[in-house]
Amino acid sequence: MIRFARLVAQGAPQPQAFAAYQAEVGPEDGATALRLLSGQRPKRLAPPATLLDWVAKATNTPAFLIEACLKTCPDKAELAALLLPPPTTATAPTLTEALASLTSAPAYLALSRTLPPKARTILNRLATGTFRTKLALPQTGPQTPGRCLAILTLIDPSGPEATFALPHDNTLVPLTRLRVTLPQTPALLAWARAHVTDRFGPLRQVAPTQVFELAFDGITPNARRKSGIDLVGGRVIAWAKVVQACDVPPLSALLAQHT
Amino acid sequence: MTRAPLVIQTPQGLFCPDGDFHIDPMGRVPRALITHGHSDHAARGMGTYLCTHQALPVIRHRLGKIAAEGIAYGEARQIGGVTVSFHPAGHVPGSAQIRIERGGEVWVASGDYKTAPDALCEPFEALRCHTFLTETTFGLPIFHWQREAEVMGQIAAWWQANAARGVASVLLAYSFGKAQRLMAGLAGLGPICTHPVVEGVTEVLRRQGYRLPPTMPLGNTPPPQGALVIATPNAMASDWALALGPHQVGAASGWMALAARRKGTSAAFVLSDHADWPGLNAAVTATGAEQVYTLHGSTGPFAQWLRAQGLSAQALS
Ligand SMILES: [Zn+2]
Repeated sequence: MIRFARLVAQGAPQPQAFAAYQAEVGPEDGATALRLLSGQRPKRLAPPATLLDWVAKATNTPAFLIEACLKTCPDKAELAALLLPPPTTATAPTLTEALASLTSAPAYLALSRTLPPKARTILNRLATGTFRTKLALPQTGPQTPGRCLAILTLIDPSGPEATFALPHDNTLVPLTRLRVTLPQTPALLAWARAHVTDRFGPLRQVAPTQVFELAFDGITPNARRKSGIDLVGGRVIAWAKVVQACDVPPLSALLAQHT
Repeated sequence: MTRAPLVIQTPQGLFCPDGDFHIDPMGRVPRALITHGHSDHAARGMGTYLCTHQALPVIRHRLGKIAAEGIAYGEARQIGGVTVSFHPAGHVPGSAQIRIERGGEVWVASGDYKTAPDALCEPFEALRCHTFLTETTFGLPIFHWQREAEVMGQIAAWWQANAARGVASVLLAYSFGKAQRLMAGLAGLGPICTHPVVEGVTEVLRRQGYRLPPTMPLGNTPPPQGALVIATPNAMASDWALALGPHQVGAASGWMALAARRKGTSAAFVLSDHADWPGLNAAVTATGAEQVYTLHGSTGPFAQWLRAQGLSAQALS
């Protein structure tokens, strides 16, 4: 269960990561994980509020403390995981064993107590029917790594994380959000400060004039994205200062090369 | 008969009327008793400063020319109508709880504290008192710390994995306390480099005799292969970060227990210099205090929790 929680910690696991997981945990947990990640979920044990209620009772936590905790940790599945004290047992259940506990409140609580908080949070999502992670697109052939140019549109200076977009139909379509760890990051933040056009919480919308070179390991379709794709293993390679935003190839050019 | 309180809250911070001194004041006051050298406890502008001998060098290093005096842990000193003494708080090197006594009545101001031991600072000492002024930075039942050795093991594994890929590991931490606790806990595993601000404080502590491994201050040169770099969050936004080369950034803090705080950090380690929920409760119980005041963080919920346990408790901030 701990290993599975690590697999899904960053969202949809990549096929390579899943293969490594399977090799490590063996066929039984491998098959269980594959079922979960392809959308076959266990029957819901309880809604998040009920699960939290069980944990509150089991830990003798009064309602006013639960309310105070929700202000700091609004995610009920995570809160239920953090309220139990850390596990004292050295043994940890397999994913299959953990799922088998999702039959009653006592069985769930007994098992949850043996897990560290991050694994508990994932168990709680499975127990409450709020586990949504799916395996990233199963691939038939190898991914084709590539590079592309993209335009900086939004930046969260605290990461710093930046959103990059591509031209499409006379507008800009968000392509990906990436952490910026370039040597020029401080200079970029200074530039961004001087070119903010709007604010959304911690996000700063900046003038769409700066072009960056991105590298990626592959492209997978994602119908929920405006661009229709996800960049796999995307990273920011360089601040392409010499390139004008109007010279960035459109989304269609990227799709033509890589899908 | 009710007696005048030994400590009251003023706009400048905690004040002891009978001793005519403030504790960790933020405004300008004539006489300040300082629990430890963090900037939200030791500020500029006080007439005189009194802190432990162990806390004084870092406070001088940070505040420059100040009229300050050191006192030994446990040494009793008469100030006005009260007797004060400083006792280890287990938070950072030299950190203290301040005990104030007047005619058999004892109040203790905890400052910041951590009940679990670490490889670096003087371990927390439980004190009996009638009134306890406790910090409650992590005063919610969602905060349970792992043993330090387990967290250091996680950091070491991250560092080694990065080193195997030829990538430097940059660990963000406060320049005083957390930075040195990390180097003490990770000593001997590989080259440790520091941002100059971290190195300055480290050198002060090293001269005091705290057991710290050798570190290499980084100017504008890249770190050696496989190095761990300990830096402040501010340093990463400065030109200094330009020379780091390929690196991964990790953060070590109690707040990393929360998924929302881990977002945007590639590696997050739950390591705090403050007491967790069980630590705060154990500390309050150990004092035997019937009256508790809470400061910092979850003051309201923690005070309400103590009232539910039958204590007289009130939030101060
Ligand atoms: Zn502090």
